[in-house]
Amino acid sequence: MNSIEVQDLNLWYGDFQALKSVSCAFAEKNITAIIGPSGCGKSTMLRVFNRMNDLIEGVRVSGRIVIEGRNILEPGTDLVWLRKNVGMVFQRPNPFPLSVYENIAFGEKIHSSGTGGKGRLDQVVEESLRSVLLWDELKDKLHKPALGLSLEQKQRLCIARLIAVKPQVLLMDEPCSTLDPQATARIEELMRELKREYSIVIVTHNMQQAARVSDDTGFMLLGELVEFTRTQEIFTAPKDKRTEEYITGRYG
Amino acid sequence: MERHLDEVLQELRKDILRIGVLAQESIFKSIEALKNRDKTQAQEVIDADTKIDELEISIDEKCVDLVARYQPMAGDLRFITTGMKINAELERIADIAVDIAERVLEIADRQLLKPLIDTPKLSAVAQRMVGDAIDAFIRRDVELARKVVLSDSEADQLRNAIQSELMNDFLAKDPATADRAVPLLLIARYLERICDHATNIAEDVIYMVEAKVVKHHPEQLS
Repeated sequence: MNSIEVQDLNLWYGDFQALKSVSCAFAEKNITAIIGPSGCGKSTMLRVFNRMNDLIEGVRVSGRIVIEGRNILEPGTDLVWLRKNVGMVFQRPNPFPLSVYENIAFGEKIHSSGTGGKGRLDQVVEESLRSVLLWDELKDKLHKPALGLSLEQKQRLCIARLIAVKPQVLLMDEPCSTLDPQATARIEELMRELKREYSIVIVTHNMQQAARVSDDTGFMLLGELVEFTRTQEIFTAPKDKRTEEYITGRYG
Repeated sequence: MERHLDEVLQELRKDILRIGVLAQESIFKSIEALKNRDKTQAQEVIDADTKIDELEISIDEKCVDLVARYQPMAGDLRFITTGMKINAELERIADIAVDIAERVLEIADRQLLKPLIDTPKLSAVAQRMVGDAIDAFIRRDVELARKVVLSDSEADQLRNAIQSELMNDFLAKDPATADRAVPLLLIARYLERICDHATNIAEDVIYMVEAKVVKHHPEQLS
């Protein structure tokens, strides 16, 4: 099963074409890495998956992106539904200026029917923190401000905040670029845990990270998806010369 | 873009060529020692092995260091991993040359059982295969590598011919010939194993260049 199917996706920022006829399928409960030099379109593609580019003026998109059987590019797509199902983790962790507890309860309050009350919320908070391995660290600090946490804790909290609303897909845009190597390793470990339940798409500049954590890898260049295949294959025997040049550091 | 890694890989290529040349020299000398029953030359092969062993270790260390420092990918990774394997194959080939030299020391003072005919042929095949395998690696020549892999059956046939002659015409008829026949049997076996190692090198070259595994998959060869 695929979590996301992309068919002939094109995207323009005004006259500039940032994505050129991209087609690929993201496998369910897999980690897929998208790599490529700055400006290749990888973050753009990630943002299309939960329609964040809608906010940018002059953006035009064509093609199809099928998630849960729906083409999410169709007008009238329920964006609240979409963003609940497809959550995004950013480069800089961005918790709300609220308590740890409120950060996680926030989504549940918006998306749930409001049944279950406080007991239900407590349960969601605990489960979400446990699944990002933060519960033991933070269970006595649930009402402390989230902005006081370490960078790594903040990033885990942001992931927990997404998990709280039970998405299908987690999009991660350079999730470790502000973290030190140990914290990076722990987030990568968490990603491996999370892929049992979720499909993950990660955009990264760190090729070793892509090689370590992902099952599939796509290489993008100038808006084109040059190669998309099993990670092992792309890093040991890429088919396209441009992929080879990029991952061996000959490009540019 | 020129990379520092390219320079380092070029050094590695030269080192592997160096151990390859030494291994070839050992085979050549051990065969010459056999043909001429020359104990001095046989001893030289045995003595040269330490240098080859040291070179093997230093190449191995360089490869590990390269992986640690550069975290090579794709073609670079295949070059380094193949280089490590070829290094080990060449060291084994040199060891086998030592085995031949030791058998030469055993039989040098004994009367030759029969004039050597197929053994020099087999040794010529072995030397050619090793030379071609090293060339294929240095020049990234997959056609030559394929030729080496296909030559292996020639080596097997020659070894079988030597073996059945020694077994049927000598050992079966007169077991007292054992002390002269068995070393020749072993030498034929050694030469055939050298050819096997050359075949391994050639298969590794095909993987390095084309990322295609032909080892144990002869149908992949074409």
